[in-house]
Amino acid sequence: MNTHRIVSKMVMVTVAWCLAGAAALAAGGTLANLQTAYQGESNAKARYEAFAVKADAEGYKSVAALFRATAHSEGIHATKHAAALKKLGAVATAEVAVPEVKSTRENLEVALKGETAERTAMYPEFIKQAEADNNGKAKMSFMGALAAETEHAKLYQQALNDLDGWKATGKTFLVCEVCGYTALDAGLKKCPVCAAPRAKFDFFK
Amino acid sequence: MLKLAWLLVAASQLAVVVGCWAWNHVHHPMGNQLTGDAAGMFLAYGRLAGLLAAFAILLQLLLMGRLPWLGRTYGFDRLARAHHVLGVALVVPLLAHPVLVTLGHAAESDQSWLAQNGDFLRHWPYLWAAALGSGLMAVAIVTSVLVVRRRLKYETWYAIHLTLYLAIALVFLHQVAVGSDFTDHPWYRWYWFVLNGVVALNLAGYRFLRPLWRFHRHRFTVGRLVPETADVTSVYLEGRDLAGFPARGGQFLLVRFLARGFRWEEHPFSLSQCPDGRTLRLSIKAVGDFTRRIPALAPGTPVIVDGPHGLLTADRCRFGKVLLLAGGIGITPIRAVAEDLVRQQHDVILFYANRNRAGIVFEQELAALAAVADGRLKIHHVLSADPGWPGEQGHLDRERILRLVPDVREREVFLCGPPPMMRTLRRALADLGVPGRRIHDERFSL
Repeated sequence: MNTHRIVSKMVMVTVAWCLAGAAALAAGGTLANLQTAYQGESNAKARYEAFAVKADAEGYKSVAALFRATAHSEGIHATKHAAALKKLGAVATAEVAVPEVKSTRENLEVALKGETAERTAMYPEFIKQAEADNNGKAKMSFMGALAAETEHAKLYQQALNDLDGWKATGKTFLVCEVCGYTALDAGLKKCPVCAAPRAKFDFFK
Repeated sequence: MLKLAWLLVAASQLAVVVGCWAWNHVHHPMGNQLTGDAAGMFLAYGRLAGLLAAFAILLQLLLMGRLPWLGRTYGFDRLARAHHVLGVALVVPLLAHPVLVTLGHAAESDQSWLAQNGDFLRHWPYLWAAALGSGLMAVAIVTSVLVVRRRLKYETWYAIHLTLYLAIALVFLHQVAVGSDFTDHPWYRWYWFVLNGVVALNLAGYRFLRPLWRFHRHRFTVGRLVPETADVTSVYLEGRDLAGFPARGGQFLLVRFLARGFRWEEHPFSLSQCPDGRTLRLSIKAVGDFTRRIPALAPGTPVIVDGPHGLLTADRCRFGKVLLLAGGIGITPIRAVAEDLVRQQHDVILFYANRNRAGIVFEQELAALAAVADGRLKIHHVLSADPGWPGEQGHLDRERILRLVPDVREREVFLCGPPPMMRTLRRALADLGVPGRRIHDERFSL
């Protein structure tokens, strides 16, 4: 009888340990992804701020405005990732490298490449993992970033297609301060991603 | 058949509203919000609550819009009851919408529920309108709950109810300004405008313009006042071309006397006599502030008439034999229906219940009608508190009907009286084997 009890307890302890281990591993996946995303967004923010200074110096006023807008957007995503990390009991940390600044055209190409990688590979994977980990907050943070990165890539491509046309001022970009959604201002009344009203947009020109 | 058809029309529009909502939230930029994270679900289901509330408000306007095509199908008394029930049920989506949507946005923007509310009022367009509109609706709903309404004067309740038009306009601004389903999808926005437009046109046309047009055409005025009993007065309305006014005996009119002390109230009263092309007779019992002042109306007073409304007419009779059951002032439509039925050669038995003989309205008129009916109209006055009465004493009940109308199952039954009496008699008639479809009644508390 005692042997039976001991075996039962051992089985229960083993099952509980396995479950806890699996949960920790799963949380670890999203936790690591959040750290990676935070690192990426923090570096992107620094990079785009430097690119904006360069674009200004080269006379690409609208490109500079775009970089300032996207830098602000990446900052919002980093803040959201940090909040999701905090909920998991972790502290967001990032090593921000000194950005390598080239010509504005090259900077746009680098930015486009980075955004494309994030929207086609990184964030879709992270979202899947967050779903598997049942981490709604992290998923929401990744989804918001994905929606914004998609717009960033479009805007960079537009700038590259008509770089001379983007020398002039006049283009205004808006960034939703709730989710970081970025777009050319075409009288948008509310954010198509999080529904925040126009009063919650930051404007860059 | 028509009842089912209109229900299907309403159901199909509800399906469009809910279907569009579901599509929008399944294909949301933040992923499927119907089954996703908590914030997304709060937002999705909060918006659904808002859409359901908005749709129910449109239904409410139709139910009380006095639309003849709807009234002819269901009867205005039933539409009024549906309006009351739906109005009380509206509390659920009206409360759920702001609570859930605030929870959703608070989670999205990492702030507390309270802070999110402050954010709404400071930054979101027309949120103040939604808050004010919902507040007005809440007051109207609470004051319409029976327990509260009984304590209020009719004028107070009606004035509160009138503020609902303002409330509806305010929440409409909110819907089209920030309602994600409408702002993000132009086709859905247009559909919503058309749906609201159709309701608004029906309401404006039938509730407001038609009575004015009828007034312009017929120039209704109070002709004369005739006391029928100590507390019942007949008001004879006169006007131009009354032969062209399409009323039938048993129907009711919503009337507004344009005289000092009367003009702000509109009440339903039954035609107690078949229209003869020259006058319309309304017989009104003094039961409240308004009706107690009726004998003071001056002849010549202009009257706005909305109607005719109601289905309690001889047209509904498909059988040769008819049983009429009336209680108190419920005799008014029954008296007019009896007149029509006798004219159409039906075999009619009328039970008229009162407390005592002094309460009998139209006693002589009914006797005269029976006298010319050549035996086709039998009248039984049933008095509950008149020991000297030589006729039927007691209440109108199953046993009395069975004893005096053994062929009750072969008869079409028309019923009008105080609600408790109508409920009792409906049960008694069902016990006696009269199918529900052969029992016609109407309640007048619109």
